[in-house]
Amino acid sequence: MMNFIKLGWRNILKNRRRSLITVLAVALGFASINLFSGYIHNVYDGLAEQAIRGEGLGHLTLMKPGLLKEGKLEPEKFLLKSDEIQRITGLLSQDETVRLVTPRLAVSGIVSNGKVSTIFLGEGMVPEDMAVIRGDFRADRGGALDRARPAAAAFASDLADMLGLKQNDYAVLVASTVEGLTNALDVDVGELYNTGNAGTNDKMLLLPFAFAQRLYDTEGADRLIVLLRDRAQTFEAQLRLSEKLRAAGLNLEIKTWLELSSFYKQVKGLFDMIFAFIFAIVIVIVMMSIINTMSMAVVERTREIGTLRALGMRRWDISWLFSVEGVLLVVLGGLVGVALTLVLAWVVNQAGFSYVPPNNTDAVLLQVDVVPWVMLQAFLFLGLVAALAALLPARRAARMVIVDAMGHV
Amino acid sequence: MTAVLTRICEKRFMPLVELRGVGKVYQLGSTQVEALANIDFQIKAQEFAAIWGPSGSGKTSLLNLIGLIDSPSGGEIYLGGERVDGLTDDELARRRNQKIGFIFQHFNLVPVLDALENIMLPLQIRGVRADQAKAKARSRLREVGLEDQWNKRPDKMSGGQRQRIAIARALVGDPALVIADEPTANLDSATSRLIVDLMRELNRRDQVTFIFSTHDPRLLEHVDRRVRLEDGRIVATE
Repeated sequence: MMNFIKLGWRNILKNRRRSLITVLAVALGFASINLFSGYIHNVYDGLAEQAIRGEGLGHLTLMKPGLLKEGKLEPEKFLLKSDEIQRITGLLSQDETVRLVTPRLAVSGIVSNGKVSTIFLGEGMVPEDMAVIRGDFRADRGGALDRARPAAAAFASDLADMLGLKQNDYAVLVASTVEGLTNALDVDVGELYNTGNAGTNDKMLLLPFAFAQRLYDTEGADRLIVLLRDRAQTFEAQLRLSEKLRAAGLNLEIKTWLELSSFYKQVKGLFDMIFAFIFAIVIVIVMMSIINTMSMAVVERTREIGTLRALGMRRWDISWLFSVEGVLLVVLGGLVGVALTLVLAWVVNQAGFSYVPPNNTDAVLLQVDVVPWVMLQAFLFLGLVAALAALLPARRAARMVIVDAMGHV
Repeated sequence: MTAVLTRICEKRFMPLVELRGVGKVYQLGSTQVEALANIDFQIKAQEFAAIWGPSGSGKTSLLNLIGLIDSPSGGEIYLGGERVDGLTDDELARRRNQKIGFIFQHFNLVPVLDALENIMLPLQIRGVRADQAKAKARSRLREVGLEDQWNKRPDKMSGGQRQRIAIARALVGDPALVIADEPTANLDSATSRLIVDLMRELNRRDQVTFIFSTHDPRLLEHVDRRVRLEDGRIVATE
């Protein structure tokens, strides 16, 4: 193998110009994969944080089975009673990966400023727990609930604008109770906030949990939100906690933030498709470059192939010889590509470019993450592709009739 | 005991190379060209033999068959008593590497390897450890008088030096047989003479069998045996 590497390396150096073009093609392709994957990694991370902390989904959501499909038809059937909430919270809090368990209640109805009214989607949450879930995520967007103001709701900014409401104004919320009766409560306008999503920024209200219970006329909650210590533990915790609840005789459904955030899934689906498309193009470029370079090498070195075969090299060894050379070109291209990625990622991250994504209310910063394991995976895959691409001309070389190869001029 | 002695005697007097009724036909488009016809031929161990004849007489075709780099269209080929014309490609490669050394008209050195690395090549193909291969290659390099040129690449050497490197490469694996196809065709007459003298010396000293092709009558006076080929047939053996 060392001889193959030595021969491959020296032949690469011998044909510097041709090797350089191939190496640059691989490097540019590799860097483009790295930069795009770094960009979408940043976007996925941002969207995940937005779902978990911004939308307050936490990492896991516990509910009675069927809530999402039939909860509106028979709400009482799907509510978690206060004793159940206490029991579940106590059970889950024992798990060392769990940081917080908090109840949640969705209420919807009509919000009025006394003159005009519009629909609202309300989310009742415990103010201090909400602060824990949010952490320092986009604190500039506002929307915190004040424990000292039990009747103050955080209004989405477009909703407040529609109704001409400002902070410390008041409005009236009208909603159906759990039993289907109409209930109305005065609400203070607390902080205004931006949901970050054009589809919800004209509808959302964040309500103190007790206030939402009063509006819905219940002492229960429809969901329990679990915040884990680490997002990476989500799926493992989902399985473990499900098992724990089942063992305790509690029939509950546990959904991850990923299952509940349709926006994340849609964006990821779109970006994954674009990534696959770019990756496929890069693969084709790399394959064509390697095939072209190695085919030329095979033609130029036909007599050498004949000589090596005459000296006792087997066909398989000849295939290896050229495949190793192809892989060496990709390794070189990969190293240059890594350097290019680091430089370009730094430049992009320092430049402070921003853009407004579809359906978003405000601009986000264009950032590129450098993700070593993604780069390593792409690198290994490209190496494999290069070996396969080099194998085509290499097999042609290996199949040459020795006397024909020796007579090649 | 008798059986062992018989085998030893048989082996001692057995021809190193034997061709029985060997023919070679090339297909050129729709035309068949008979390069060799019904060749019966033996080479004994330690011989220094030349195959000579005019261009197109079949010298290279015959050497290619003896060197196992081409397969016959008919007949049988034996190397060291073993029939080799039906072996697989890998087995032929192994026999070439272990039993045969090659010296080519165009030297056929690997351009990106230096002199020492070129000489090491057959041993490394065989799987010999690098340090052992290097020591052996140095010793052969010394024998061909180019020890101080060990790190030169072929393009920095003269034709004579390249051919001496090729001779060292052919001998480095201690083969039973060295095949040289027109080894002096690309050399001036003085260098040709030196190359033939060198091959002859190695033949005598190392008891290696040499068979080479040439159409230069001046070189024929040094050989043990001359085999004359014409139109793919052996017409004289002297």
